[in-house]
Amino acid sequence: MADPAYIVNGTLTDGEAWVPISTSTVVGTSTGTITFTSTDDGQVGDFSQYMDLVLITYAGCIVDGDGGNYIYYYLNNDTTSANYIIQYAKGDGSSASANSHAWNLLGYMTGTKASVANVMTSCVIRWTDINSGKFKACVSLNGQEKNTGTSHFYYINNVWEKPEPITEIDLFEPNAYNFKEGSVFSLFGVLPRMVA
Amino acid sequence: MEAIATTYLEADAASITFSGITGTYEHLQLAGNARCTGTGTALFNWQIEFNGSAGTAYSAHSMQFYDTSIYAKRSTGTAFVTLNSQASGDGIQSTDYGLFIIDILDYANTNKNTTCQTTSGAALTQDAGTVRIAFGSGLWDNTAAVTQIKLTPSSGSMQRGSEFTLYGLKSS
Repeated sequence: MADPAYIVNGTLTDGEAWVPISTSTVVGTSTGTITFTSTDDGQVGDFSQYMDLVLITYAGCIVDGDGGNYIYYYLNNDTTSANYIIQYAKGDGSSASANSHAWNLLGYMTGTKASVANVMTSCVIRWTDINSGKFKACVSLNGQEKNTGTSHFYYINNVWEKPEPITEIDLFEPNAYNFKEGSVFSLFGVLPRMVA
Repeated sequence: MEAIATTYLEADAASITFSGITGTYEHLQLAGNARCTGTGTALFNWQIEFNGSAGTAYSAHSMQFYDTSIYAKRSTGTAFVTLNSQASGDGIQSTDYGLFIIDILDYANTNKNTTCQTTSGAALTQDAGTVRIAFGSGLWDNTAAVTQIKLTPSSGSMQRGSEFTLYGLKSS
């Protein structure tokens, strides 16, 4: 098996700690689910070598509205919502609120109403210690400003209550609205540096 | 961004320290997934000390969220930057650790005091009415370049399995 590019003669080089794993862009037709799967081959797509994962999204969905739609996720194909706990804080321009639920929510998304046709929603998510025997926790920062209707900013802590290493991430809209063309999802692996 | 060093605790430890930090980078980021051995389900504080300098030159403030409650908190004249109520104690489920990301900007500039911003989420499986997420900022009122970062829980020790990685961001 060949080494990934950041390992030279068996030694981890002082390269970027953030390794681009994969980017998924919705082109042409809309897409219902975005999936990132560990390649388990020792190459850059193998999640088992990373300490953290960072997912950066800029996305919208196909629904005739300007907001109120969501990015949800599953890890390792675990579709039991009760296994995910969320605490969130959000602001909508006039009020701030917080709450907790058994939800697998990562953030809001804009729809396809004409006034927001070219406006998408940013979301930066970081899972830490993804290969440990701990529950898998992430923080998500999600901004949805669209200059019409109600915009939202979300700050989320979400915990998947399973100790397995993360090997797959699925992203979807819970009301079955597809991601619209131009939506971009980029996954990065964050390397540790174990020193004596 | 480069990984400078990772500490993965194989046994409980009173604190963790990253030392010998050079001025190679523009900014630093400390990311962790950790909990402490403080007794009970209460959440304790993470305490951040720079360069082994105690005294009273630190202050911090934060916004904190639990269920539907929103809090704000401030500390001044302390011996460390306080990351309030984000260190989960030993009374919660053993596999549930909290996480945090601390950005320390322009840390090597000797014309500026050192500030940091924090983003954190505590363990969620306990439900004792304590803070579950927070963000905030801290100040070390000193212009010395940061060469050492020490992290300590306000109660007990860092628990086995806690993980911390220090990253350096190079100048663009």
